[in-house]
Amino acid sequence: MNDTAPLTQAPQEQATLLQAPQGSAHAPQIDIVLDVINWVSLISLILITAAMLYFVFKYRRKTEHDETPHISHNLTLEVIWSVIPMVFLFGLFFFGYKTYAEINEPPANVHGAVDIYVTGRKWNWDFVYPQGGKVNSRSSLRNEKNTGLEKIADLAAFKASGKDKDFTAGDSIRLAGKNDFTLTDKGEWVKAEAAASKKLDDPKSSDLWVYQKTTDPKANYFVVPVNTPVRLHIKSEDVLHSFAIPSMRVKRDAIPGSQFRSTWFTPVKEGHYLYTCNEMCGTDHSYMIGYMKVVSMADYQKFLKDINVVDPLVAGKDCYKNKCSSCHSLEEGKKIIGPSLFNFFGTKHKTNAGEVAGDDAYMIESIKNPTAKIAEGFPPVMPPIAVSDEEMVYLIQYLKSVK
Amino acid sequence: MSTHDTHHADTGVNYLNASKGIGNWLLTLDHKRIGLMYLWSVMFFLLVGGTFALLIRLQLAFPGHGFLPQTAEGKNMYNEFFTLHGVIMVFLVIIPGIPAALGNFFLPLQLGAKDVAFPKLNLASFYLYWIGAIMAIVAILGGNLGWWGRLDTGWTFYTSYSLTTSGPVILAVSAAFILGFSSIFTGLNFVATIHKMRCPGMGWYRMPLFLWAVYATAIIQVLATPVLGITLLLLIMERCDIIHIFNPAKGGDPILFQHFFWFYSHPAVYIMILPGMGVISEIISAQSKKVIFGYKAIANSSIAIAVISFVVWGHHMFMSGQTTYAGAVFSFLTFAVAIPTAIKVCNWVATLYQGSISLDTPMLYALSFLFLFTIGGLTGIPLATLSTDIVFHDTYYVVAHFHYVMFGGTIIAFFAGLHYWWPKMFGRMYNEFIAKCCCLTIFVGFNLCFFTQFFLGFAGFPRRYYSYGVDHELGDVWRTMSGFSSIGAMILGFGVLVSFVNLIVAVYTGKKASDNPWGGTTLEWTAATPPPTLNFDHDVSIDRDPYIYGKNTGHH
Repeated sequence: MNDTAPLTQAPQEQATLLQAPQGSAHAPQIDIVLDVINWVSLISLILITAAMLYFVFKYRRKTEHDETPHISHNLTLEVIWSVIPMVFLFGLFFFGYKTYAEINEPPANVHGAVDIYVTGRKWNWDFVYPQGGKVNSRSSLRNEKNTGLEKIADLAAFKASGKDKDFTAGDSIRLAGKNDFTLTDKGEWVKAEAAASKKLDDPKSSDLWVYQKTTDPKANYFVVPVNTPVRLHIKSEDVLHSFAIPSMRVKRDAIPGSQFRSTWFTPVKEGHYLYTCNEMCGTDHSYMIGYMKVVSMADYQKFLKDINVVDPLVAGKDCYKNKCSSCHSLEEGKKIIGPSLFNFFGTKHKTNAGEVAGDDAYMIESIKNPTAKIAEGFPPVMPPIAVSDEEMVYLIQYLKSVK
Repeated sequence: MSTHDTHHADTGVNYLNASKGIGNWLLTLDHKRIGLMYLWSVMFFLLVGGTFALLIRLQLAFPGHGFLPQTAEGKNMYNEFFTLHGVIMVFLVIIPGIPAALGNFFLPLQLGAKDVAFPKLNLASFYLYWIGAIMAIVAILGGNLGWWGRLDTGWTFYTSYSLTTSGPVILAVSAAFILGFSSIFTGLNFVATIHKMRCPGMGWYRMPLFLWAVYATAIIQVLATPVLGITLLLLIMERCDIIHIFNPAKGGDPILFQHFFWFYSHPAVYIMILPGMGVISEIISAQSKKVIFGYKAIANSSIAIAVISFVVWGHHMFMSGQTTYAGAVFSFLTFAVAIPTAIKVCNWVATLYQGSISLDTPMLYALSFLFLFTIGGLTGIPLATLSTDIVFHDTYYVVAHFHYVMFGGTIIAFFAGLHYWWPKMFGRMYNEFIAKCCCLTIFVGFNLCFFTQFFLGFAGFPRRYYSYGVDHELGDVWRTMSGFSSIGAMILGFGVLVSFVNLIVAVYTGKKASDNPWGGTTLEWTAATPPPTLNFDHDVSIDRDPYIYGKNTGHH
């Protein structure tokens, strides 16, 4: 992906006063319910206001001694105006529930669905593609292999090239596929945690990869294919955020902890669509925005190639070797200190908190908060392990691939 | 007893001049003086909170960057503005506004009682109010003087952000905790007063509807506020690292805070609106000289709202990854609470039928309440409907909706009540022409300010944004509607300010008001104007309903 490509030039549908563009397959389903509510509300408002104004005009005070009739109540009338709203409201409840039920919890198996892991942090979003690679809402990822700088292998060579002058605080680089460095506020390059794999033997190792910080939301879109179900798995690294794409009618809180919370949609029109953070998260809350770009399947595949800096299985294996393998084997039944991770997924595990299904959430919890549930027959000795969400996505894929 | 046979010995002594000196006011046990001190406090904080609102609208008037510096400091200052706007308006203005100020003053008068059941507790709750207010002010000042960070969590204090910000969360939360006790004390006092101090002859269904509303409010205050207190204590303990139940890094659940918080704060929405509904019932009946339509339906629906309001809190969490099942339950219950509210609106309109309707200032406010509150109620429907809430959750649509309820409902009812009871409180009449102009200005400004925000919500404009760009498919709506909203806010602010000046000027220069300028039939109008310290110069008893207008009424 590069940050100079112009956004889609095709004229894009704009929001009207009562509707954002209907960018997803389920948007019309929501909007029709909304239209019904709006019309009925408008009619009710007009009826109430008209009755009020009519009475005020017709029965305005003529003298101080006006006599008024004593009408204490009218049961028929009261039943009518209780029952009609009741029927209407409960009908609405049902239709609202129906669509919500379809998109609130995406099914586990959707043919050809695209998965994207969205991680919020103060104040940017990571979009991790399980095929390997990620984009970030505040930094554009750039491959500079054609700049003639491909021989840059370490920090000294990087500085000597003079290329470092182009960077500002918060930018990251990946040198020779080995090390990531981030530029601090003080102008020093420090080793960064961001790399999925630090000892990656990457075929592209001679490239210089740059994550350059930017506040221009156009420079850093994430990409999805058109007419394909997209499942977003959303989580936060620090405080609450909320990920929303108004034109897709999608919104989900990003919650810190061990669980990705999922929602899904099928984009139906190519174009670029604003996404926002909707939960107050501090200073730069209003800058956690960017674009989602909906493109053809062919362009999507090209995008995946562009951002692919790691092979997820290699990166996952690396992560396993570095961070897990000294205590957990991958051979069936072989105990080192902790239980074997062979066939972890899809089986049940006995723990001190009862039987737990071996799923992504349990794996993430066991890594981040190991004492929450202790596997039966093992001591509670595992410390929390620092694994970024990006690494986690690759690690889980790798563990699932081992048969 | 009817209104005609009361004659007061005009001794010139009333609760305002019965004793002099600041000490006599600060240590008073007279519910009217305490009510008045609440009233000045609430009006003061309304102006302070309103100033922050204007600063927010000023910042958002144009796309790009507003008047605040485009630095971390500037952004934090903006976050402070909306937090303070929320905290001040909710805890210092709307919750105490009608019950503690107008309620304190008129509850014993309408009951025919000499005072509330526990006058000392009443004074204590006023002082707790000010202790809480001062703590909040210190928290704000400290943030601006650099003692600590700025208070920037939003009034909801959501974890995990409130656990990590450098703002004075503990101090602010303690302030809310203490204000909670002020509210509980007031509620307890009102429940006891209504149960025990109704004058002879006043059965439950002979109470004015304002008292039914205050009673329902008091029950929620007593039952729900302790939950807020406990939640805030837990938050303080979590921040002090004593216990870990909200912090996910330590095995807690940040969403649990939202459950606790809204278990109080949703019923609190009804603490805010029910008293306003009570005021409107009084005014519509008196100003159309007509017995209220469906008295029992209005009274009982207050209680129904109070009960159902306890089981709808989950509708604030539809986007939090709550299960579909839980979402369905909360959505259903939320629709259920809408029905008693709809019944009330229909009753008020029906009361106008064949009335003798005057268009004095209180009635103008009451009619404006009916229109605005109806919009507020109807626009709640898409937020209760599960699928459409996806569009609007945490957008300006929600902001617009609850301002139609909180301002269009409660504050407009508060203004209606002020203009209705001001002559009784001070014995002086305000300038009617200016008051009507202000009512109209507020109505226009309010609608321009907030109706536009519904459109912002349709276009997904998120809440609590310091600035916004327009270079995207939603941008045109964001630009135009934000601009109009800001213009409306300035008009609204002007209207509020002038109407306060008009009321305050009336206290000193207004022409003398009669005992019963609107021809009301509830008991407060039988007292002298302004009332003496013990309210009535005779023993009060009734043998009639509260509203006795028109033919075939009177004694029965």
